[in-house]
Amino acid sequence: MIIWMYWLVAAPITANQRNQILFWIISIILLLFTLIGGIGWLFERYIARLERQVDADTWKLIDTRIVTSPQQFKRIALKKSHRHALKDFFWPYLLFALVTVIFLGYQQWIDPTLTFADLFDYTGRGFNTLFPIVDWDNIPMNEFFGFTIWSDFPPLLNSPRFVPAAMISYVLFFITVIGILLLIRAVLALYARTTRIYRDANTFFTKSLKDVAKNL
Amino acid sequence: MKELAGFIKRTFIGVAYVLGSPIIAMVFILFWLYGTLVFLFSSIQSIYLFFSGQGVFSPFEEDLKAATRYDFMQRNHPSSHRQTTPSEGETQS
Repeated sequence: MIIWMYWLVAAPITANQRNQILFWIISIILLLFTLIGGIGWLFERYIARLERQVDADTWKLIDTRIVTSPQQFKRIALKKSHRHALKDFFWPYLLFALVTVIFLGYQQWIDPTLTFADLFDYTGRGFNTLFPIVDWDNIPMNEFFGFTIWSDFPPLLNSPRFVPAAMISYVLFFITVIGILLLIRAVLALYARTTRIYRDANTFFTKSLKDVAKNL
Repeated sequence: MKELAGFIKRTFIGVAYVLGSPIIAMVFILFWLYGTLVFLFSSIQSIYLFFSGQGVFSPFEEDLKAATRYDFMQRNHPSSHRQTTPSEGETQS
């Protein structure tokens, strides 16, 4: 970044061109931050939706006044949250266990030469054969105003292709990705429930002074 | 104008997310560990409950009380049960 800023100042270009380049760089950076903010907003919405589980679990307890204090509420709501966590975390960990069992079983009974590293190998039968792999170590560099900077795209080591022999890697990769997504959901749900319980426990048992004043 | 304000606000929130990403990652990892511990302890507890003949996901005592009281309230005053909440112990109709 600093190199590019230096280049902007030192390069033999007109002030107008420099301003244009600066405008585009700043625009791209701002758009990138907005995109990150937008993704964050989606997560916020999703967490707010997951928070509602606490309401669904405990509204009857408060409505019937079985629970009458924040301490009682926290105790019972956390117990329920932990029960949900047991269900939520069960599936991803089951999938990870399944991946391990399939891998070990395949190695034991079908192909003893398969190693763990083979599952990632883009030249052989790893799931990386499905993705473009670039050679960052050998990226072309050039001298530019005394600085050694990238001068071209890195060479492509692997073009995405389907390798029938890598089917076991694809299956294990697919199951692992689903497991990771379920795990992320489980962690977000636990976070949402726990923060809701601790943040709002007191507000359920107190009245707003504004509401009280309205009835005076 | 409102859209522009929203855009600028979202951009600043994006900057905050980038700056706070190590903390977000740390909180995520802590909740993952917390969830994993809860999962392990709850699993052990569930196995104990299962083999001792109790339901693993049976309702809590408080839920049973609440359900009984809620039924009582619904039967007696379906529209305005808040004014007629029975006192403690008055859960049976």
